Amino acid sequence: MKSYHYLLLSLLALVSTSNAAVSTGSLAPDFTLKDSTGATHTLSSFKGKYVVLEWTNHRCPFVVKHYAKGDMQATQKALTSDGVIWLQINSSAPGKQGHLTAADAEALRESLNMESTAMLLDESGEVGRTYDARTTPHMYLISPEGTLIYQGAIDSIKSTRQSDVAKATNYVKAAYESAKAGKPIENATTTAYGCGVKY
Amino acid sequence: MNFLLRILSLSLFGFSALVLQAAPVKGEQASVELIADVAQIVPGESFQVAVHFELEPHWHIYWQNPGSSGLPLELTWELPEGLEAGAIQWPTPQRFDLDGFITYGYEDSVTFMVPVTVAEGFRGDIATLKADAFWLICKELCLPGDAKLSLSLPIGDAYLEGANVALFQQAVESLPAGDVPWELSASFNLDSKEAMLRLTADQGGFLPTELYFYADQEGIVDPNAAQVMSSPSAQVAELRLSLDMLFLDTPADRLNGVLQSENGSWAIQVDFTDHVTSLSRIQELESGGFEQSLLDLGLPGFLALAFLGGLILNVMPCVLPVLSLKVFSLLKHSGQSKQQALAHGFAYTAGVVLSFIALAAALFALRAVGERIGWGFQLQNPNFVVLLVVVFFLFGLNLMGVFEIGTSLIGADSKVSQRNDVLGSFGMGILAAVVGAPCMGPLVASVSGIAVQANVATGLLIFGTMGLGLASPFLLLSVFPKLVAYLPKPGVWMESFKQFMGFLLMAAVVFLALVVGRQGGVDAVFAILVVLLITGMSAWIYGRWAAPVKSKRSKFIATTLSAALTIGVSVYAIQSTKAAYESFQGGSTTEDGQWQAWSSERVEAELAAGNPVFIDFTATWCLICQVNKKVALRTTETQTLFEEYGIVALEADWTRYDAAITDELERFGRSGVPLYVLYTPQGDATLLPQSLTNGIIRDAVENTLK
Repeated sequence: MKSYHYLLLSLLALVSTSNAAVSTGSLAPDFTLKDSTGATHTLSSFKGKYVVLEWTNHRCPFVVKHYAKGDMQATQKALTSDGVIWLQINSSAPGKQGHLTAADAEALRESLNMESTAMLLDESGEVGRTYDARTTPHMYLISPEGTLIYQGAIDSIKSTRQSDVAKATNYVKAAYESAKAGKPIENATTTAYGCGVKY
Repeated sequence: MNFLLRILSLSLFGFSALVLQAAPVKGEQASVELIADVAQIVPGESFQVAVHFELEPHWHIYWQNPGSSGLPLELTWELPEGLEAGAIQWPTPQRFDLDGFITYGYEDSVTFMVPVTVAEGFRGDIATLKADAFWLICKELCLPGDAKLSLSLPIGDAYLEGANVALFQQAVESLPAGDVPWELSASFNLDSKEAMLRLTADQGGFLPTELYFYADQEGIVDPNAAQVMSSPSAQVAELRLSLDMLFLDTPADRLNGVLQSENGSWAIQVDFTDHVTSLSRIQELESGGFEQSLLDLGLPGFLALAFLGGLILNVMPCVLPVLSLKVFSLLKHSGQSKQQALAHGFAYTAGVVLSFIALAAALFALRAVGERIGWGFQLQNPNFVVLLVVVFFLFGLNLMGVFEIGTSLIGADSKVSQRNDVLGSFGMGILAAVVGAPCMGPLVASVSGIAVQANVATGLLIFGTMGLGLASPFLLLSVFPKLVAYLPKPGVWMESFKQFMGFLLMAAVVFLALVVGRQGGVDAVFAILVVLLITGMSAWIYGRWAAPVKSKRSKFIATTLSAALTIGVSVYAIQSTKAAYESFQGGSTTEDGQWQAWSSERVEAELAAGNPVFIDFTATWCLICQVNKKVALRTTETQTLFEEYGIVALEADWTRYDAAITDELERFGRSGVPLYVLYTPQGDATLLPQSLTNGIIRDAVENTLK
């Protein structure tokens, strides 16, 4: 009976490929999503470049904290002008907070002067669940070889206070700078903070 | 927010004491109030204040570890000199599930108590305590909330009960208790990404039926993963926790948090005991630039390595006879059509590749049902070894000319025998794959380790490629028959060479007898010898009375008799070998000189005592392990080196199945032996290359222990 139980469990594990999350240091799972302009982006096509994934939801106070005074935009600009691909991903399901149609997403990008490469729409939440994106923001940095080299929080102070941004260490920036300089990344995995992703 | 603050004065029991009470502050989806369990502050006597929340229905706020999202309550105190606030005492939280994302917190109402100490010399009439509270409140969406709270209390000289005693009573009851009714221990395994919390009840004590562990920090336990409880015995319950990403990066020393059952909740702190060595860093010495550079390439590199490993297998003593026989048949039939040559080539390749895939699939399937096995596991199985002995022996006798198979007299190429030959080629392919396993060379070890850890599809692909590498020389010859011209011309030498190959197979039988002997002792070797005797006899009967020139009746009787004898004796041998394996007590580990038997406890004990440890993961049937032993591990040079550095030498013998060793191999990302590990007393592990020399060992020891 016990071994039968194990068999069943392991079959289930095989079917659901159990651990959805991606360990830091392992290969970042490939995906293809449409962006706010209708263009299609595939992660693997960016091989050779650093890629930032940013889970976002413009109505979450934690996201607002980073966009209200242009902090996130500044980070986006600093990295993209250095050749980094910055993909915002919106995994809010239709009818849930933060869900955007392509047109609304495009309008939002313009009104907030976002400096990302593209905002990808992941209504089904499939990509979000593959990466185990739990919060908005939840940040990932992928190396030119396609390895996940950072995952977790945007910075070191867990709050919704805009004034904390300047005092905090921006983990994504720090990870990118270390990686670019060929140095080990000090905080390669942190715990993301924010609102839950509205799958 | 001060305008919201109203101060009420009351007089109680005729004392002139003045109690100043703050009214609730309306915050985001909640009303918040600062309260105290006393009506007046007494110098030198500590008391409790609390932040009490009344929440709108279905909204919740968070525990100290909010789970997969959220933020805990934050309090910033502003207190008069002489008063000091302690940490928030968190009530046991509950779980909120939003589409599979679990958060920890509270709904309806909750009271967060904070102890306040009062200095002996604290003087004055009224003390005003101020706190900035900051929180996140969520239903489906989240809103940040804040409030400036304040509470004024008169200062008196005797204890006076506050108005909110009932709330404080409730708050105390909602805290996790301190004394857990069970003995606790914890362990974790970074490879399975799991921690295990074990509860042992006293004699006659109860075990809970429901358990949940709230880690008090984020990044330790994955809040979204189910926690599975099992009870291996009446006294023990085990709770399996999925480790979170951050833990996998930087493991913690202990589990801190709240354990909740249907009977209550307890604040616990358990040090991790087992797998302490998992905390150590593992450093792998580059095993030669070429192999490493291929491994660095990822999957294409693994496949290239697998192919090369398969190719090298061809010249190993167990596979060489099979290959040479196949090449001979090609030489013999050099007149045959291109299609025939191709058919043989592909049949052989199919045989090899399919067998590799089948072996790998069996490995994955067995592992899926919980068998802890690794590559090379076949040789731990008496059934397999006995059958291999029979096959090797018969094959050797065949090469020596004791009997011929079928009607295939040299040169007799009837259509039927050609068809059989194609099937025969397939069979030869299977044989090559099966007998190749014990000869797995150095390149194969690391890549098969990767294959076993990878997902099933990748794993099968890697093993299939390995098979392709093994089959490739013959396949190449059959696709380009012109290459055959570069091989020596057929002649009488072929017959001599074939007979000589027979001895190679006999040597393989001797090697298998050693493998069996190590696992089953004299009884098992005896069973093998009986198999050889009877199989030899049936080969002789078959060769003498089933030869093509004999009558049909004679052939029939001889074939039946020899088949019956072979099958009968194989069954006997399998059974008695199995029995011998089970009853064999002698440890398979050879405790010679400085080498002693491995156990994980022994490693921990030696490391704790400050000794470096060298571990040789080996098996009798692993040829490369035996070579390493001879040329590097058991040399006087290495012995002196180990003595010089005070290294404790341990041998983990995997000849027989051993769950503990299999676990340990997996921990280092290996599916089989050899594996050489050098531990510093600090517990840092260095993995040595698969092929050792005295120099490699010396360099590793000097570099890591200097």
